[in-house]
Amino acid sequence: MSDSFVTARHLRKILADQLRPCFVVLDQGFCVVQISGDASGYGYGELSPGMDCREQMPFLIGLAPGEAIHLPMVEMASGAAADALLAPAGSAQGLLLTDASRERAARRLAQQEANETRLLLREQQQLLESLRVARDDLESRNQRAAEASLMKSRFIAGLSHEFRTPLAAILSHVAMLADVKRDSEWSSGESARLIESNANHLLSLVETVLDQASLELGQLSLNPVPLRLSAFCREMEAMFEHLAAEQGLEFRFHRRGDLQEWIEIDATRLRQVVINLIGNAIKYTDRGFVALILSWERGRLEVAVSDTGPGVSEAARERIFLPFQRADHAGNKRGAGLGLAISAQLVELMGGNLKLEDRPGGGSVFGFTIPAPKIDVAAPLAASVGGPERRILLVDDSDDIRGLYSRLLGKAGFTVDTAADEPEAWGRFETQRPDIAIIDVYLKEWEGTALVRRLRARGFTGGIVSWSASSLREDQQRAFDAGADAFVLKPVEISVLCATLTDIARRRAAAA
Amino acid sequence: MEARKICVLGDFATGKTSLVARFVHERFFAAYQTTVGVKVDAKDVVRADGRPRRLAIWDVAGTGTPTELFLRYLRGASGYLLVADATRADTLERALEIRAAVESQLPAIPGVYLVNKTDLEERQELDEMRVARLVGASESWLRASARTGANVGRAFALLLERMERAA
Repeated sequence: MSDSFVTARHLRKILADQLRPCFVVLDQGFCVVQISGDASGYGYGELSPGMDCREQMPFLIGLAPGEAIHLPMVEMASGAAADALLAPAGSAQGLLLTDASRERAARRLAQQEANETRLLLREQQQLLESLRVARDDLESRNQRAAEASLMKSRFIAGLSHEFRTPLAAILSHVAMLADVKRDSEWSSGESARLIESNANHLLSLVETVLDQASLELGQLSLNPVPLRLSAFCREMEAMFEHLAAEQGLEFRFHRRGDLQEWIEIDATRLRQVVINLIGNAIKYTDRGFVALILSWERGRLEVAVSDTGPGVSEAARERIFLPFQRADHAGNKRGAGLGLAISAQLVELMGGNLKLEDRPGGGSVFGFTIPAPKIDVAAPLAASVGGPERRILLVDDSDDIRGLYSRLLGKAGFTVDTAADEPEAWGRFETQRPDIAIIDVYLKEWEGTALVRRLRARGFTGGIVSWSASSLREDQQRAFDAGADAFVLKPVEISVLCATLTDIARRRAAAA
Repeated sequence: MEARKICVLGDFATGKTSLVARFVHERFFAAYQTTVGVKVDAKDVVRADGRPRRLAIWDVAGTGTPTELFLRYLRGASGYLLVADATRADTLERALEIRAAVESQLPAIPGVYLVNKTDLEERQELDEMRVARLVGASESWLRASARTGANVGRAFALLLERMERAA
């Protein structure tokens, strides 16, 4: 044998070891004619002449007879990888498989690493993006917090001015009252009226600030009482007709539906919202009219206040229901900048949504709809509280409150006794045997709710109304837990207090 | 038995191999192993009319940019699945690009979009609205999970039905 022949045979062996070729001759129907080489290395050891090659080699499915194609890196069902070359060979076709397992292993390693790196980079980018969003959010929150702080600072500055003005007026009129005998031209009645007006304004400011604080803490709760809609309408009409006329405005009142019904609603909060909306409308309307539209139908009360004022700009709409905001055109008008924010929150608490719309022809319309279920109240006023339930014991540590309400309740037909603290209250209970007790939640060093609890423990079966100047939900709950029948906020209008007493009498009569 | 070739296409790591493993072997492997070249499996199925079909399923290595070799693997195919990863929205864009490249070469064969990995609920980037908007109203698409098997068989059945209609 020549050297070249030996070398060629050696090289062929090396190539055969590395490529492990398998050559299959196929007919035009892909049936095996002849097999040579390492068929079993690719998992085709059972392939024999006459068999349809596509049964074992599904990668041939779909190919046309006589088609020439090179398919690199094909992984077989056996797990082996091959480069497949199909080519026509005369009337037949030849399929050559050569081993690609080593190359596949090397490429898989590199590709796996590259793909995993790309996935990690993507995750890293997402993480960075979420960090950026979190940072932007934090910055934005910081900015909002700073703005809120600034707003509150401005609010406090404005509020101190609001407080000082009526206080100064009150003090000056008190001084004038002291001097009234020497100044014959000045009437004490006029001073008293101005003192009352300014004190009311101060009270309204304090209530506004406390309401906002309670709402922010989520501690303001509703106190539904019986309310006759027709009386509410008369009250609003009487309250604003004159005020509007003083401003040169017409006050229009439209009623729809049956307003003769008694409904159960937090009358104080409803009144507060409606007064705020109409007050604002009158404050900001120079000419034309302010209208209140009230309708009640199927347990829902709809309220709308429209005006012919300047309207609310698009930019201001977003912020108008936020606290510490005032209208663009507020100028030096009085107010804390909390009214609309509180109204919106109260309406939400009552189950509605305060909305602002443009009034066709100019101006604004503020409106809402809230649940207001009808109730059956046969005889609503104090006089109707049954004969024996007319003796009231009023327990409050404020001399002024005791004096004021014993006079008002007396006028309403009740017999009223008062006590300033718990020991005095016990004495009155022993001697006077009241039918109903009105007890302050806070009695200096005594707990009003403890008194309520002890009264119930000792068998007092009469009605108990707890009252407080605090609108905190916890106070209200404590009063009810102790055994109170109702809770009202001080100062309470006498009509509301009478309606509450009537309601208690009605419930007690029904229970008996 | 009549046989058909279908290709499973899409970007890398979208779960093509897992979908095929679920469909053919009813198995799932959580570990990611990249496919190099193409892996060919076969499964015998029964058509809605009761006739059997052999499917040669070509699991083609993931790519976002179709090459000449990629298109060569498609030769003789009767239909294809376009796989996207529901946790990576950009993989649906790659699937759309692949669809355009395949249509330029093989305009007559049907394709079905398959948005995989819907089981990874907290990482979803492709909800139904977004898929519908990106894919277009005239296309067929399904959300599926190779891990749970949800909609995997249905996707192959839908593709087969469309292939039979197109044949």
